[in-house]
Amino acid sequence: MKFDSTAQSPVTRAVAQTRYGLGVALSCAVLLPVFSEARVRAESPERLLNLSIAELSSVKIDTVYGASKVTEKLSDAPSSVTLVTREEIARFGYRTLADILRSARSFDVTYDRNYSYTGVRGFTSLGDYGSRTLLLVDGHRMNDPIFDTASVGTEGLVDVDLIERVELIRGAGSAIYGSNAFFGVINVITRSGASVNGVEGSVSGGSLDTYSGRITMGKKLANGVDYLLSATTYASEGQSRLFYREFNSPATNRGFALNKDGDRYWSMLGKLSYGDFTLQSGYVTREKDIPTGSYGSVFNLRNSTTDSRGYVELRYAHETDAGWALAGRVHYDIYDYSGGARYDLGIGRVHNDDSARARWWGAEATASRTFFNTFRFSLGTEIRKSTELRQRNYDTSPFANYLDVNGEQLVLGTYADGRWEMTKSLSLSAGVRWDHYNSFGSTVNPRAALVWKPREGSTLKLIYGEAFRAPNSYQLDYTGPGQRANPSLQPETIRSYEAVAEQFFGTHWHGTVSLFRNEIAGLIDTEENLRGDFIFANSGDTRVNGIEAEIEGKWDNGMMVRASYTRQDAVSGMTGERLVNSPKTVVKAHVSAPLFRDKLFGSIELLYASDRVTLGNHRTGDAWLMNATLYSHEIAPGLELSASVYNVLDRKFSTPGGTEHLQDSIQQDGRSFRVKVSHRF
Amino acid sequence: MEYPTTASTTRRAGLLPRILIGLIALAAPLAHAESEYAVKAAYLNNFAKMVRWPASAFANAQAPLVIGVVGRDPFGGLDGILRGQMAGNRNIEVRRVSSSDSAGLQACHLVYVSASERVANVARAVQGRPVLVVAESEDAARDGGIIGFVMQERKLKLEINNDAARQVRISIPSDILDMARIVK
Repeated sequence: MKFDSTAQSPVTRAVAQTRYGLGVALSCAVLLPVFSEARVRAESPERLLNLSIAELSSVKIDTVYGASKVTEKLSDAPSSVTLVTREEIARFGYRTLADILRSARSFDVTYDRNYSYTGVRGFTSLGDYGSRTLLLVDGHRMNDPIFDTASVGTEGLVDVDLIERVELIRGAGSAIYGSNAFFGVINVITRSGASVNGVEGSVSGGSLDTYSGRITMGKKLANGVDYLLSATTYASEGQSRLFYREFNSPATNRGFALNKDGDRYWSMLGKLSYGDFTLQSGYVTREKDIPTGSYGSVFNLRNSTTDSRGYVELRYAHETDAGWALAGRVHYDIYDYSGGARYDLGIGRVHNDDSARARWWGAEATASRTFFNTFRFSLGTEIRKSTELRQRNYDTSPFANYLDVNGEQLVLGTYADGRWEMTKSLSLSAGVRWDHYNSFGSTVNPRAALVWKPREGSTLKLIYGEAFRAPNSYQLDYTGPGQRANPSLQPETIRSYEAVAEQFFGTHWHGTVSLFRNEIAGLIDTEENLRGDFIFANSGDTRVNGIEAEIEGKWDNGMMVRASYTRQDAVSGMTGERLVNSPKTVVKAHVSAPLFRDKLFGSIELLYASDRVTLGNHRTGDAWLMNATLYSHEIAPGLELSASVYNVLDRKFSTPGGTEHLQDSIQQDGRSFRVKVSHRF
Repeated sequence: MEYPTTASTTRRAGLLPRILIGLIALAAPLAHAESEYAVKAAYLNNFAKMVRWPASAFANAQAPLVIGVVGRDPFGGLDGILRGQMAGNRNIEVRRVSSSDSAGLQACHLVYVSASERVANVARAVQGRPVLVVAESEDAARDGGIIGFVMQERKLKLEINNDAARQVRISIPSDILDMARIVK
């Protein structure tokens, strides 16, 4: 990750980061299409009326947990929420959480052949490690205290095969979750042992010499114990030959990086539940070779980063006879990063090691109850404390120490959240959270949402939220040659406004239109100080305005259609210039159809994003991406097969490179395929 | 799972025709939304068909089975949803009833109490009468109601106070009891 002592000129970096694209500021006026109300015909589907009691009790009703930390119906959630289910993940051949996010309205993932960075609604900062989204695994915070990384690529902790569903919750969520819930919250809910019910094995192989294997055991035992234990391994050679014209000189192999794109990880997840208690642990370690010569390292020489993330937690959830829902967790977390690369100092090459090591623990408790059937109240409190936040940077031989610092983080948070059902059709949600950090002090973040259901099937939501991202240890503590720590950083803040209209059209169709506005202040960004050093500062303000529309159709036979359109305008508050890496128009379309009974499905996704401005003030051009997957299950007992082609049309497209790259834009993969076989025993 | 008619006619068709048919379906007549309340309506339909009331609860063999909805109708028209449904030989009739209308409540066989109303008030009004009080809210079966809906792992489950049902000579068959959490 991260910054090296001998990196390319910090000046270029700082200049580049404040240069926000071409100065074409689009009018933020967006027109809400006339929103036609459905003619709701009072006629329930025959199918449901004909179901027996036993069948009815297994009909799933869409609910969401992460929007308020209590289980609620999707339409009641005081946020705009998208659910991605296990079924969808399998049918579309998603390989990582990054694939899942890319497919979802509002979300964007940029890959620089080292890390994947999540962005939301026109704001995808290069090199922020996804830190402006909060990533949760079964409610457990994954963002680490050093870089705030929300890992969604191959560096992510959860094998997507183990995901039951993903809740994507848009908008400022600090009023419940504290830091990082800036643009949204990604809550990954993993499968239970009961859903595995035996042993599952899975192997896959694909282009770029990519192979993976998984073995999972899980069961719910007669005594009520539910366990799951799973391990995954993955290796990819990556692109054997990558050309970067920025390095097109004889000294740097004419711009060709040969066999420098490898990617390897292994991960595990374990869960043990009994009664109200769950013990859960996960671990992932990934090593990625970096082909781009990032941070001014010697091009076409082995250069890699290793990131490891793990945790163990014990959680408790109990409902008392008096109707109180009580929950709590205690956890211990680790995060390790190390990067090794060689740098040319002119007088010879040195090998430089950059590393970080974080250890922390935390505890949280929440209580929630509904009073008088109409008022739900939740109260929660949380503590997180680091025991080690060490960052180092040194040359190995001759040994030269540039950085060895141990930071500290103590976070205390307390929140209250309520939902008042004023009438059957109108509810008001409001919450506020206080957070205290040892670094900058306190911050208070409120949210409020009005949810109106004028009739069954129609929902209107007006949502306001404030959120913050606390400065992390990397920004507060990292001082090396050319880079200065800034311990006086304040959190960056956001106010997000959203109006959402959701409408069922008959039994099968569901439509959403959303108008949003995000106002970001004190963005933590890089600046150059008077000595020419690179330093993080609360620099710019940013505004994003946009509109999204989505229509989705689902049928009982498994047929699914979804299309979304986003128009967004993200500009720097100071210059009015368009943000780097922010496409104005994004279109996503998905079709999945049963081809043979409920056993074989064909799925196609089409992802379009209009051009993005790069740091060098160029444009990347439009990006069209089409992925297709054939998926079958239970063709033979316990057997699952899938075959996917990614970037079917072999379209060439690039995304902007961050300041650590000399490349103004970085080309993404062309056509590739994967076949996967899973079997349950 | 059964195929709905639109799909079964195209079962052998390729992907593209299916997509087209899917898109055309957008223009097709709109039906009521499937949701929590569609499921609850289906439950009520089952209760009306399966639960046994004492003969004295009906004026004669042709009298309809009356379902009363107390408070706001969250179904978007329960009468429309259940139109044409029969409970044995009896028609099902849906009425809106106020929680303060004791006589109106006592004239029902099944009363659905919306979340906006207090179950205890309704239960008091029909005390001793063979009226199956079904309530939207949790704990309803403890608050004087007989059946309550509970959301559990995204599924709608039942809570039943069978003692209360027996006291008013309402017989809930084991098919329903087996699927419910019995409370006292």
